[in-house]
Amino acid sequence: MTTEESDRRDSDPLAAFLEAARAEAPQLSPGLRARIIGQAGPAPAPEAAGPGRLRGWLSGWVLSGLAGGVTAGLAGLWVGFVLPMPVAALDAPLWMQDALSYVDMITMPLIGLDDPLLMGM
Amino acid sequence: MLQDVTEGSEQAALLARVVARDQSAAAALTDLIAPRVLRYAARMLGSREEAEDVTQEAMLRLWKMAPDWQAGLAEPATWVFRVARNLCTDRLRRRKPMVPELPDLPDPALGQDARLMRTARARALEAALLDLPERQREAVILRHLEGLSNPEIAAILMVGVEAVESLTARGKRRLTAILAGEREALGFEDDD
Repeated sequence: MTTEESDRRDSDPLAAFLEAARAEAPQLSPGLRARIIGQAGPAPAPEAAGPGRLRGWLSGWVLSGLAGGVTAGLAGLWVGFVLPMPVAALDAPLWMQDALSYVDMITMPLIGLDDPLLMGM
Repeated sequence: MLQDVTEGSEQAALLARVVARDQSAAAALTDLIAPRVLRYAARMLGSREEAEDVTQEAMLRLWKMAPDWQAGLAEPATWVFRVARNLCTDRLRRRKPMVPELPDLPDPALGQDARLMRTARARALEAALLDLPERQREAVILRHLEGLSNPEIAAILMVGVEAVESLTARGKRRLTAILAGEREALGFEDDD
């Protein structure tokens, strides 16, 4: 150790500790550096009108509608499978009987069944 | 000093280029600011892992702030230090009180490897720093380990320059007292 260094350490007892801490300081790892720079990367550009936008509309609205239809169909199959008992047997109240008769009037010519509610009986 | 590397206006210009999606500007600002913030956070928290989280979060907030950056309010580096300081404070307040422990020291009787001794001294200082009151700790770190000027530290801590001088002086006195008992174990008798 030089005299100058020794004098400095005598006047500042922390000097050697501070020097050591500076020399042993943690370094920014390449991985963390890359992550930080990557976070400054370009934000997604706003979507322009045109085929891309139409595709987005189709996928967002039409396809979700189709998916809803498929789900409803599957739910109907499941209800039919687990509930073999005719719905009419559930004794609908009188006010509902009138409503069901209107349904018959509409569906019979369309699907050719006398009473869809009696199917399976 | 923060200004030795890049003037504040140059930092702001780099930030404007980041907004224009210039990756080289993002890399330049990262290299300028992130290593210092990482060191500061590691010494404030005593945890490398938490310091990395703080550094990444503080830099992310700079990138998010970049489009709305107003020149003249603060230098980007100062602003990031302030964010990192708040993040460190939040983490320290959520923690249970901890008692810092001095690390295992090499036995001087076994002969001293200079590098081992330097590492031991650095660990001893870092442990002693954790025993300081928070404001003294950050003042000592920024002044004596990061080499910032008192006005720069005052801008980060949002206090006057006189307060920085007082915090630094009290912090050094306390560190000296904590480390006094370790000087022999850390080979100072042989140095002198």
